[in-house]
Amino acid sequence: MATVFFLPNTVEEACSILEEWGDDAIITNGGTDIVIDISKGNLIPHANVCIWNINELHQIKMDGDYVRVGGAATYKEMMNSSLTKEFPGLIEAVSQIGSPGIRQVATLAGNICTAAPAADGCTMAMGLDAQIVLKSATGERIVPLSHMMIGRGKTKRRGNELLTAILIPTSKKNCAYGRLARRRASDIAKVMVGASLEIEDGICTRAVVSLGALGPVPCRAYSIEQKLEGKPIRTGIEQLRGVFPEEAKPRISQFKRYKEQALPTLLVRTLELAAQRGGA
Amino acid sequence: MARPVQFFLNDRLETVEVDENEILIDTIRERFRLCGTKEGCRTGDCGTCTVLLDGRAVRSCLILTCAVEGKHITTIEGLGNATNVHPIQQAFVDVGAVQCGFCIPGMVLTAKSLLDENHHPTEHEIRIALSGNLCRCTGYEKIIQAVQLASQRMYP
Amino acid sequence: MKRDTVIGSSLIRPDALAKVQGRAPYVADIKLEKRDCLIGRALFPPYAHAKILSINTSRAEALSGVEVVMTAKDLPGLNGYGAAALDKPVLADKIVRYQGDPVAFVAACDKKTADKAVALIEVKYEPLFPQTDPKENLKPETPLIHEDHPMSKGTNISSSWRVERGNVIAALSRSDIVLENDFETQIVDHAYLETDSCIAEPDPVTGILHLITQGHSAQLNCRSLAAAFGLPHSKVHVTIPIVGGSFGGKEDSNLEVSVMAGVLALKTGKSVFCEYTREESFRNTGKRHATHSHRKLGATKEGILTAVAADITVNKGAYRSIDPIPQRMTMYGGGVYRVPNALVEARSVFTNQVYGCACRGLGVPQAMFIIESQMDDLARRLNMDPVELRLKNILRDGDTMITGQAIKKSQGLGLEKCIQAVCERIGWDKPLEQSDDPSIRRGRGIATIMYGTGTGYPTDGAHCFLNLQMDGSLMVGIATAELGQGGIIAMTQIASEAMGIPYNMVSVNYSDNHSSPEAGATVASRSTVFHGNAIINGCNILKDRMLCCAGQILGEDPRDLDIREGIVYTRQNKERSIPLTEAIKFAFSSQVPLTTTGSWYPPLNHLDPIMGQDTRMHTYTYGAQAVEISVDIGTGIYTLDRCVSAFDVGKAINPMCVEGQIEGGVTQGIGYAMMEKFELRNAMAVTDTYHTYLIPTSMDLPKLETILVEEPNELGPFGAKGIGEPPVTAAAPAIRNALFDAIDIPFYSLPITPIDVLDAIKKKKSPVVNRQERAATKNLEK
Repeated sequence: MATVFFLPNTVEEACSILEEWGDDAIITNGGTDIVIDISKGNLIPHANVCIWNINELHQIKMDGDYVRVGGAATYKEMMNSSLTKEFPGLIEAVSQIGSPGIRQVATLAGNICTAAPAADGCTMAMGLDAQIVLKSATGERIVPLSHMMIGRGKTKRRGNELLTAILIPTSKKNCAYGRLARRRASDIAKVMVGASLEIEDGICTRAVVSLGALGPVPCRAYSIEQKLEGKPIRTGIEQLRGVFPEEAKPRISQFKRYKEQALPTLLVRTLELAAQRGGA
Repeated sequence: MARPVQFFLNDRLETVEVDENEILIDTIRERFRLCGTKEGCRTGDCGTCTVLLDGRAVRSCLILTCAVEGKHITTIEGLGNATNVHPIQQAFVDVGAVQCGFCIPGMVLTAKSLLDENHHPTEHEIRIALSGNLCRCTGYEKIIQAVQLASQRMYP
Repeated sequence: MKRDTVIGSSLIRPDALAKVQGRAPYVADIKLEKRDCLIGRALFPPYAHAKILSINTSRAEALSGVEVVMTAKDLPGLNGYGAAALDKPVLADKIVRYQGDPVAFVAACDKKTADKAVALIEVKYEPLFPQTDPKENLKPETPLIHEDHPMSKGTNISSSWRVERGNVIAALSRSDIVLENDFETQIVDHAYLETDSCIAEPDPVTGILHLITQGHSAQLNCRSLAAAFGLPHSKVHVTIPIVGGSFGGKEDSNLEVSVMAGVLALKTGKSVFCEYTREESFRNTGKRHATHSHRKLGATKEGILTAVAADITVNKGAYRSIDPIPQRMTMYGGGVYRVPNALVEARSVFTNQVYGCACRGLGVPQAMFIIESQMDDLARRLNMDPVELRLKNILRDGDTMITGQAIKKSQGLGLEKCIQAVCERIGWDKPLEQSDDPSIRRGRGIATIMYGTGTGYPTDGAHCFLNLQMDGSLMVGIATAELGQGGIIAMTQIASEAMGIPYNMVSVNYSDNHSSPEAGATVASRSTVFHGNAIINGCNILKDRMLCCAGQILGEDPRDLDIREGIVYTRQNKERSIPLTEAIKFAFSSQVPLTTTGSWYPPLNHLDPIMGQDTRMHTYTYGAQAVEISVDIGTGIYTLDRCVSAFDVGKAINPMCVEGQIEGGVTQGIGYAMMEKFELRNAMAVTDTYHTYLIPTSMDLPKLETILVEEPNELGPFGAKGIGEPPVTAAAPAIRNALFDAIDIPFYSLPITPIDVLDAIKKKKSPVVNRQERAATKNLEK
């Protein structure tokens, strides 16, 4: 079986290819994940739509109350953009993914669509309550990132849709990201926490907390958010000392105990950092 | 099936027919017989296959050849030769950064990508830049010194 | 005549420029130039222990592009090969003993076809219980891993050793303090970046099989493989181009791909290239042995060591490979200290998992971790500074090791100097600055080591061919593999100095068993000393001949002549000189040979095999390493802030290369301490990629501070000792001891990952305090 390779230059072109090939097509960009499967011969797609030449998808720009990160924007482009730099937690997350050679081509959109359990970019974006723009030849829809992933390797993206942007609310700039890994670079973290806090007069009005590497896909820690909202932020965080979020469900592995031992500490530290950035 | 791909390899426009699922390292080594691009893992972890894609260090084992249509690829062979030694290469030689040498072409190209962007990196910035290029011989100590020396010589 | 010397000069190594430009060919690069080379691939079993019931290769053979499929019945020679014992089957016949035992080989036109053919081979197995516990395998009722092993008959023991001195039982019962601990060390992979590869080319004219391969000795490769090819040694031509890292691994692990390429080449009559994938290299090739040790250490209340008793079990894996591990772990059982009473016993035991082979340090990284950790436990028990305790007990001139070997200053004894140097550099006497961050605890640790130069076997010696040319240049045929360590430049510098010619007139023909004699392998930190001395002795023979000829030309007594920079001159009157080339021409026309063999071997080892008393190594390299760390007690993540190392190398022939050896070795030691662990589940590899098997990156290290100490070895070339392996041995105990200092928790197994640290902190009943806080508490108690 052979693969048909497409290298579209526009979103319209890409969408019309996807309309034709649907689930038989894979979308690649940096390829840092999927090309390994292809080169090993484990994956021989019917069609491969490589979107890295679509210039408009590399853009990072303002879009109303959101920063719009294009579906082909690389981590490196995010680290260099003055707009994404406003979200310190996001930079903390993406600047620790893989290695510089990976960050040069890998994208947040790819990180989301792969729906892997330990995804730094996706975890932090979820902690920013990001929204996902999915576009097809026939229309466009927006899905909250928190609802995007439905299982390991599975998302709500339909075969004919292209993830064209990740929308990050500008209200979430007081954010922080924490990860714990065994090595300082090029290591998949064992515990990941993303958080953004909206604070007015010391009171937490809105908290978004996300967890990575603690279940089949990154998830929201709604129980933690509830414990924080409506309280003085310092008090709220203080009450969380030693709390293990009920949403975290580490699978049985040699790292399970570590995740259980370290998550409460990392959670509180990440929240404290976000609160500090919020002036509290 | 094969697909023709045109790209600049070390500043020369090349056309090759490749399988749609062929990765760039295989094209560079097997088709162009440029052996300076080393294969250490084929999983993107070691950095020995680093090449420059439009001037930036990337892993050639994670890139499909078809995707580099129209782009500029620089391998270690494009950086200098026996009579025209690139200052980064000279710095690696001078400080003794080379032992088994298998990681070195990737290290040199990664250093090139860094120094192009940041003429005067700090030691910490160098460590970050090289963090995806594994070396088992040197402890990175003299490699970092080499990048510092190259920076001083190239951008005094 | 100016007395310039290249010895001690950091000359640029000849391979450096080619390597930075990507022009230096490794085996896989040489293959790119060979167009009609077949590709060989192997089928490996899905079990670590199983009976092979049947193999059906017909579908694979029918595939277009497949040249041959081989199983055990198709082999040209003995179905066994290996560096120390021919116990590793070329192809598994009836049984597989670990997951790396190949069941069938395929040669095909390209890799894709070969892989496809491998997938078409049908094998029926009867899975057997994988016997992975060495202690279980020692029990008499446990089945043998090898029914008929060439060296180990009727037992699962691969090798064993004991060292006994004095009366341990009496000494321990009289000791004021006796510590007793169990230690575990893990399996470690060499993780060299160039995977195992070999090109085999049959020569239709001579019948020679040429292997272009990797290794530590072309001669050893030949000896290990010839029987499997059914060829005399003279018809196995091995050349070893530059190697992309080895660290002991490719001493015999690369034989796996070499034997595959060789038998496929003989079968097809064509060139065959075999190369492991990274995953295969991780799964199949040899590793550093895992060990379990039970150790008692006795001391007086003044901190004088009285006795050591240790029982050590080494997990050998499926094949013998290189196995002096029990011998090394026992001979170094007393560490760098005077211990008058000792009983140290060790044995390596076959199991159904990947075999242990030489891995930079050959048992000594394990031994030093145990010894140096227990020294810090003792210092803590005595409430004594760890450095003070060490200085009270270290070996000094005339002291004896537990093997009975007297340590002599004339061999170079820079141990105390190394300790002083690292203490001074790190500021051992000054209190360590603590962090403002309440979750950070800082600590400092030290370790001291020694490491013998050479294998210590009676066979240990070296020979080289020297061939003086008419123009005054010199060809050196020496079996020094260029593994990255700088062997070529070291041999060049030594030959240049010994012959009295400029270094660019020396050409080293390395690693070719047809153009250099047996010299032992480039292992055991021995090349500089053994190969170097052989070259010096050979140069002295040639030099004597040339001086005789020059004496006749000049009318001088040859004893009054010397050679420098290619000029023969009279010592008393430097004006009276002739170019060396004149003497060579004279020699040539007078039928004086311009070639010779140079040889060297160390003094005879007087061995008492019952008590393990001997004088195994002619010299020892000493070292000390001090580190500072910061521990985050909330996450267990700790950072190496400083790492200072001092090694007594006798004489650094090329200081830049020596520093490189130390920095790289120290880094491997850091990996051994902090992160590296080769893991198996049901004896099958789990960590078979660089993202599951972690080695240090540039971000995991501080600036590495290195100090060279030079206490000359009277038998070394210009005073040199070995430095390849010693640097890897000190980091693990130094880091362990720094953790003990920082968080008051002693660790007894490796590696010590953040996961282990956090778990230990959570289990600790008392608060986590560092040295200063402990001291403050103690003062309060007083």
